[in-house]
Amino acid sequence: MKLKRKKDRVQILIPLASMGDIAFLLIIFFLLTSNFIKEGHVKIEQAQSPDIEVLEESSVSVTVDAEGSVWLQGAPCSLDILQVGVVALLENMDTKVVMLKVDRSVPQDKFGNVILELSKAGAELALVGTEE
Amino acid sequence: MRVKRKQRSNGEINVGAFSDIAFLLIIFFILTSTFVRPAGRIMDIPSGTSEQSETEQKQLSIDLRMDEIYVGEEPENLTLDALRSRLASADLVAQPEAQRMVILESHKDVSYDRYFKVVSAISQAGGILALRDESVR
Repeated sequence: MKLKRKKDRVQILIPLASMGDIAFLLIIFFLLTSNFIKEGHVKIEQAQSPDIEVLEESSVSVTVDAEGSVWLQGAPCSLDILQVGVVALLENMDTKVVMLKVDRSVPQDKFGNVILELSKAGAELALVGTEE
Repeated sequence: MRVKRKQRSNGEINVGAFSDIAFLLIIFFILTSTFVRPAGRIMDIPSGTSEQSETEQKQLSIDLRMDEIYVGEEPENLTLDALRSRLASADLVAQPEAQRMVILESHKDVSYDRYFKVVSAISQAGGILALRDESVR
């Protein structure tokens, strides 16, 4: 006996159009919550201490690399214009916190002047380091 | 004569590729984002142009050198752990603001790592850091 196959098979379609909407919503979320790394190209080895705490991220950052070069917002900056640059950046901000990242090997005669200049600019310093 | 119309194509736009692009962008954002919150220490320092304090005699002073840490008026060489104990015993949090100040003088050859450890210890103990600028003297 010949079996009669069902002719009208139900075509299975997965609607994928909404996947794009979800993905774009996720992109908007990442765009709004991300802090882009401004000084990824400046390589430093961070200082260590057991007495550290989690800090609030600030949008103004100053970095001193192993050679003692100063970077403001990821761009090279001389010590003479550091105070003016930081004052200009902090002018329209609610918080006066400046993230200071210094390579652990830098001697005091190089980073000491940076701290003094930032202090004169009225910045509240957040020294960035890692837990020992 | 009957005009033969061209068969119209389906007006739907294929949006399947959109989600691929979007997911590629998500992967990009995940890889370039920093999820780790920065750690460190807020350095509580008064303005850099302050005059010499009248109450400096009552404040704790630290002379930080490459291998030694001298604390107090009659300098006493302490290790980092001993400095932490000394700061804890001073109970700086309970003191009025003027006496919470810790005057830190650091020699030019001191590395940032060592400086950071001392500054973090002072901050952890509730001290307000006063930096002694040699050029002002």
